[in-house]
Amino acid sequence: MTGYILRRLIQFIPVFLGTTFVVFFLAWGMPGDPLAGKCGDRECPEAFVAQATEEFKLDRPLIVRYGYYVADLMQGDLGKSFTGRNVSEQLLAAFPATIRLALLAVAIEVLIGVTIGILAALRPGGAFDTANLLLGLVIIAFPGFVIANLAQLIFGVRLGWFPVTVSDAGSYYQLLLPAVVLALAHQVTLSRLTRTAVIDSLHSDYIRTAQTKGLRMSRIVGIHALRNSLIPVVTYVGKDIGGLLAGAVVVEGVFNIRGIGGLIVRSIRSHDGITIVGAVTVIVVAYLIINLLVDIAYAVLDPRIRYD
Amino acid sequence: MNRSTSLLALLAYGAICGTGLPAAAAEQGWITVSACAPAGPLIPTNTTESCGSDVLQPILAGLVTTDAKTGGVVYDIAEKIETTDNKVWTITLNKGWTFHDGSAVKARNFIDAWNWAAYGPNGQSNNDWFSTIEGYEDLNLKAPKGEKAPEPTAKAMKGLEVLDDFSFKVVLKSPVPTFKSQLTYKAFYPLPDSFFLDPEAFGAKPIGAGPFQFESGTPDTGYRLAAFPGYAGSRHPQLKGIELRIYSNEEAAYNDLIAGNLDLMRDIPASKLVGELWKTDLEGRVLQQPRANLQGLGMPFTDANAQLLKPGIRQAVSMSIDRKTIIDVIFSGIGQPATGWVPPGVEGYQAGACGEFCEYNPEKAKELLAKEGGYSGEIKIYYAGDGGAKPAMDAICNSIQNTLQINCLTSALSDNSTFRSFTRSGKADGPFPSNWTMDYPSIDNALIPLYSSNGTSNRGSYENAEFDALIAKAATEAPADSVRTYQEAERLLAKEMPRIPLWNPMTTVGYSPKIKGVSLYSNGRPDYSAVTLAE
Repeated sequence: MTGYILRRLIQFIPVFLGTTFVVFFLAWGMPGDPLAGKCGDRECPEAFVAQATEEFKLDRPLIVRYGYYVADLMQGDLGKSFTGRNVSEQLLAAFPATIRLALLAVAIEVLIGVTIGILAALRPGGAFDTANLLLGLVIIAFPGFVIANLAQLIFGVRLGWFPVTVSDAGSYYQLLLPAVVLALAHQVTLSRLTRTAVIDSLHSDYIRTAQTKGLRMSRIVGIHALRNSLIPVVTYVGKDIGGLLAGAVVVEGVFNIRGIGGLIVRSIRSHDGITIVGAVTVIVVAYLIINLLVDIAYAVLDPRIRYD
Repeated sequence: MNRSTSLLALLAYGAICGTGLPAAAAEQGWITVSACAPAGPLIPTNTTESCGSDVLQPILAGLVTTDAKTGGVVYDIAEKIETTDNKVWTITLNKGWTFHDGSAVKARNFIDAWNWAAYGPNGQSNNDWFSTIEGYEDLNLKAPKGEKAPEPTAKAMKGLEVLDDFSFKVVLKSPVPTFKSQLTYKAFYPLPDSFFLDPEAFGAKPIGAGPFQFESGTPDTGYRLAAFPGYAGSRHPQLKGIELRIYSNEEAAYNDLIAGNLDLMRDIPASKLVGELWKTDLEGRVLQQPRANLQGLGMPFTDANAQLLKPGIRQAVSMSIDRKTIIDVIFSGIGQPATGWVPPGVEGYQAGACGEFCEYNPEKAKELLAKEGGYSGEIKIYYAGDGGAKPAMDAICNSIQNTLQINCLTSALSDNSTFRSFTRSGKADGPFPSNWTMDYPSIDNALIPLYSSNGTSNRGSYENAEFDALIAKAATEAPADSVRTYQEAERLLAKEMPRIPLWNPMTTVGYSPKIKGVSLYSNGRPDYSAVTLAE
């Protein structure tokens, strides 16, 4: 196992370099002068343009600039954005809220999704299963921002149960409502996945064996069937955490969470290539790590899976 | 591998520490205000975007300021500013002003700040404000073709001279009658000696001589500005402090305002202006005030579209736009049709400078078009797709099409940078939104940078010898006479329509029951000194 993990970690290096390369060229290849519109309605003075061109080496070929970027990166320097802020500082400010939101959302999603999935699997086609299917379709049909805005208006503004918006770093309490909103849509897929997998397991020979041995139903489902149904669930949850790290832009916007998604959107709008590359690269690394953890989880869940 | 471990650490860091403070109500005497995240360091001479300017405004004080009630230019740190020829200015300071770090505000704090900002290699975005001062060129050497500009040997402009601790002399290259108005702009504000030792530290914790001092904050967490006990000016704050809360989404700020978590918000989201929803939501605790801003339609200036170079066609297009209806429908009636190139509330404003050409008149528009021999092909209006320009541009297009029967369509460019590069390149073959925010409230700021042939923001490379001559004439006149000459120059623009005036927007403000006395400066920023707490 250790050898496998080491091999995977070494594979990170080319993937990491490849991503920075592609993102770097995409970010800087956007049409338009990155300095245009930097001085409000006015045109920027020559001295300002000259200084920025010099500092960001805008007059050099892209490949040369990429070389400089990687050289800095190897020393742990993610560079400075157009606005003079360190990219690492911006990421450190934005990540806590994003990570907390993602973890909270996934925890809620797993709790709701897996529970509903199991209950639905016990009586496929029964009242609960059908009701859940219908409800799930309704939830999925609503765009995320509608649910987010409604939840904010009802539970935040009108009832005052939750904070309306998230200030600065965002506590778990402040993030609860946005996390529920995110989890709501994601749990639909998760509960369907769990349901199918559990139904599948319940038809297996070892379940029948367990039943004939006289085990209690709760133990059969909770331990034996569930554990063997978790592989697709873990795969989906892994993908979800990765997605939430970068993709919660809409919910972040509605609840004023200053996370990574918003940072990337703002950077793209202001043509801040250095920040884009830094943020996207860190997310790619996060994805890689989560995928590795998912693969390790496979081996833990199913002893038949061996990596060495 | 190193990076992945640090990322794991980052994940753990995010999950465990810094649970953040709950959005508690502000302390006694403090108010919370919505703000946006400044894009760069908070250095007055390098801040041109509005988010940073919002944070700096309560912190800074300059020689002169504008009166929030009358809009006029009034003395602040300066005791008097005198000139006989608009060229040599003698400035005397009031004694007793101190910066927030305790050091006294002296003449050299102005001169050092101006020299530093004008010094080319410092690359300040407000560098060109000093180009009117004698000796500016020595600090900004021209780059030989294809090479980098040589390092200037001079670090100080010849035209600046300290007379004593509290007075200094400014010699301009040529007369500028409105120099005193220009001094309201923050590029001319004084900087304490500590700035020059470490500009970067200053950018994170700015020091001014204004009514509020910077207490703490970053662009990510928001800012706390406390009333400055040593403030020497006339705008003494009643509040103990202002907490600026950063919002990346104005709808979120609005929801906080109506839920009672926020005391003051500027620029109410457009969706809440519809049907006067904001006035109902806020039970009348609202304010709307004209903003010193002109929204216009820039014209292509190369033969990319030869037809639109004809003044008659431009006038016809202008007369075919139903400004009033567009404002009512698109902006819920917030704003007013522009009748000239200078926004109202600005010194030298004259109503109707554009004359009949800015009035909606379908008959006359058709006549003018016919006289020019009609228009063949289509008119394409370009705009930046990431801003909010689309609805208004679509409406303008419909107006043109309905009136003149010219096929009109709008074309979105991906974002503001792309849009700016494109419209500046001369490749644009159609009109595009072209707006101007006044830097200081005087007529010349709405004319010279934009329409004089060497204007710093003359994006259309517009040239008109007659206009230039009037600007040159005004420069040598006494202030009152110069305003009349500038007005004459403004009226001249109607002949060729380098830009079609559309409307002057308004600033909208909503506030909580906790505060009263909300008023705005002509630049649209609140005068926090006038705000008091309601009982």
